[in-house]
Amino acid sequence: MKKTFLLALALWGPTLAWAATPTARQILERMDKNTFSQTQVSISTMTVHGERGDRNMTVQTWTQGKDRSFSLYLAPARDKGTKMLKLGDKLWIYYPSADKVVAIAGHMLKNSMMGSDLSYEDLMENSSLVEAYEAQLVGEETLLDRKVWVLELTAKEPERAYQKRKLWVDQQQYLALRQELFAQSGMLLKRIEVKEVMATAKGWYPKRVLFKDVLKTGLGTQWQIEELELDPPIPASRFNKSSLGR
Amino acid sequence: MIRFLTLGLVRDKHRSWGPVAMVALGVALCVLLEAWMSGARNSYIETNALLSTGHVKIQTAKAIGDHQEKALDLALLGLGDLVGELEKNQPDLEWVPRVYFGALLDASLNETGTQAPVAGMGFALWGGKSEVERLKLRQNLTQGRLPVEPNQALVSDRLFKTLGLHLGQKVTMIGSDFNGSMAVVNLEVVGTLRFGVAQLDKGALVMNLGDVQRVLALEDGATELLGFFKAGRYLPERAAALAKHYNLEHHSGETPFGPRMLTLEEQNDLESLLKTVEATGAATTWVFVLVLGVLLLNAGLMGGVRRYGELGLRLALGESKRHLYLSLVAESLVVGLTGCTLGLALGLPFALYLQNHGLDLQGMITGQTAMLISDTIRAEVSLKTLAAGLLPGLLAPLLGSSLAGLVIFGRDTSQLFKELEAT
Repeated sequence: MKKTFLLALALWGPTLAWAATPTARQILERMDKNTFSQTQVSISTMTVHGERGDRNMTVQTWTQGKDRSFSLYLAPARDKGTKMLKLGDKLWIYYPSADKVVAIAGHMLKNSMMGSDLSYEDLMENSSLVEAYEAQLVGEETLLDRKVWVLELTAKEPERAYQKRKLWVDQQQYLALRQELFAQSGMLLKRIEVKEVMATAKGWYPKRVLFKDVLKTGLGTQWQIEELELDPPIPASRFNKSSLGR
Repeated sequence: MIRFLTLGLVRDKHRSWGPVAMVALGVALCVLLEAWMSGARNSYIETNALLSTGHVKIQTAKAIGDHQEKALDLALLGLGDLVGELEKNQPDLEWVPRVYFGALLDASLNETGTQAPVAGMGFALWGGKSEVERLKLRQNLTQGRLPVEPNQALVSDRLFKTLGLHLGQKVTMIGSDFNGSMAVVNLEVVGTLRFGVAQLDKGALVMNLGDVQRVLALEDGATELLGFFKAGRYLPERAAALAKHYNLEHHSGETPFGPRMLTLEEQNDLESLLKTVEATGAATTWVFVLVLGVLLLNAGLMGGVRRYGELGLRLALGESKRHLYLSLVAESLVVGLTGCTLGLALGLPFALYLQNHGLDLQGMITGQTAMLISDTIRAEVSLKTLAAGLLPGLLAPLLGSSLAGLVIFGRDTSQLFKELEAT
């Protein structure tokens, strides 16, 4: 009897283990759930490790869903008071030095955001990964002593800034510890690495992330969340164009 | 002797007017060509030196190596120390920092609207090191005035029209700063200008250097540091020696953001161009000498046939072959001098006209070139121009008569009287 059980386990074990592995779609859904909240208010520091030195910026961000956000730069003095408003697929930046609102559109979206390794286009990612990409689970690896699933994503729409993505997703925390973003040609454009995570009421959240635009010189841009509040009430006026201005 | 030969030439028009006309025409063409080539060459040098290359230029090694001379993130930093050191060690040059950058000019009042790309330039427009005189900005103004306070700017005529601006209008410059962040500043358009260089006149935006440095987060930096010889003209050997010494001293190339000095010829493909112009000038002169020489040789041979009897008679009367040969050579000198005088009289006024009025080549310059080419090219008359005319003008008849005259030495004295009787 015991022998029969062991034989059955040997035969069915891998199949059962495979059945326990979530599908690529399920992994992406869990990831979205991990980081999504109706509203968010955060204070972050952004450090650009440029070829000729580091530069620090502090920004406070109010977010509602995936397609509304408002950012206010608090430091340094040169950028203080700069505001960014994203409403759906529209983006405006207010420059206090010129008291001017600039609509960012077209080729300008590809420009670096505040000299960092992120582009304005990155900021405009409205859809969740599940909505925007077809995903495929291609394997399992160990990354930074943690078990990860390796996912390959292909964009559903040709307009996506990154047509392909490769994700290394932590099997316990459901966070993409590493991402590689590719163009249609297969050329690597960006690399994103989570350096530190933090626990929130909803699960795990990336606290310190390094973005590296591989086409840019320098050592990348580190984004660190200093304060994070999930689901706080945010007045609707925050996401109004009238909030841009002095 | 000369008077005798001259009279002979004047009286026997068959042996003088043809060669003289040929020499005169050749000299006139040589003078015109040399003046034009020399003017064009100097115009290229002057235009490029003033607006782009300086007599020498310092940039970061990376900016030069990557051919991204205008990239703000590769700009020179620590400018104050750099200029201080250069002024101390190279007092025969004036050192001028400049910032060149690309941006958008937005002419709408509130949100972004009518925009045009601009080639931004930051020059010192006031203060001790003002570049207004050097760049002839006052003369190049087509309307309005020069900026006198921060946040005032000049735009090129074409840009002014493209954006439908008016003097005093506020516009917004949107660009990227040294850090790659967006740089936005409101400017008042106080004047328009025309450099006379198509590449710049398309969309130039001129601001005071200090403004540009502040807006682009480049307070102690510049995209380039230009050196101009205080002598007022380009000194190629001195520039080459200076650049070599400077680059050795600063180990240029070893550190990506260290300074590296380039001479004028090392920039904008000027070296090959200047060499081509020099070679073409020299080749043209020698081609004229040869062509004229062959023509005059032919004329001399024809003259020898026509004057066969005369030469025979002179030999029969006891004139030595050597003397006769030398008199023919001397005759050719008279022809050469006369031709040169007429040629200069013909060519110089044209050359001087082109020197004073120039030739507007706007629209004829097509294609992309790193070199800045002035729309109006002027000839330049100098002593070299005279030499370029006189050299072929004198050499060619001399060459022709020297070769044609050799037949004299082949005449057999014992046969002379028989030949005379026969004629």
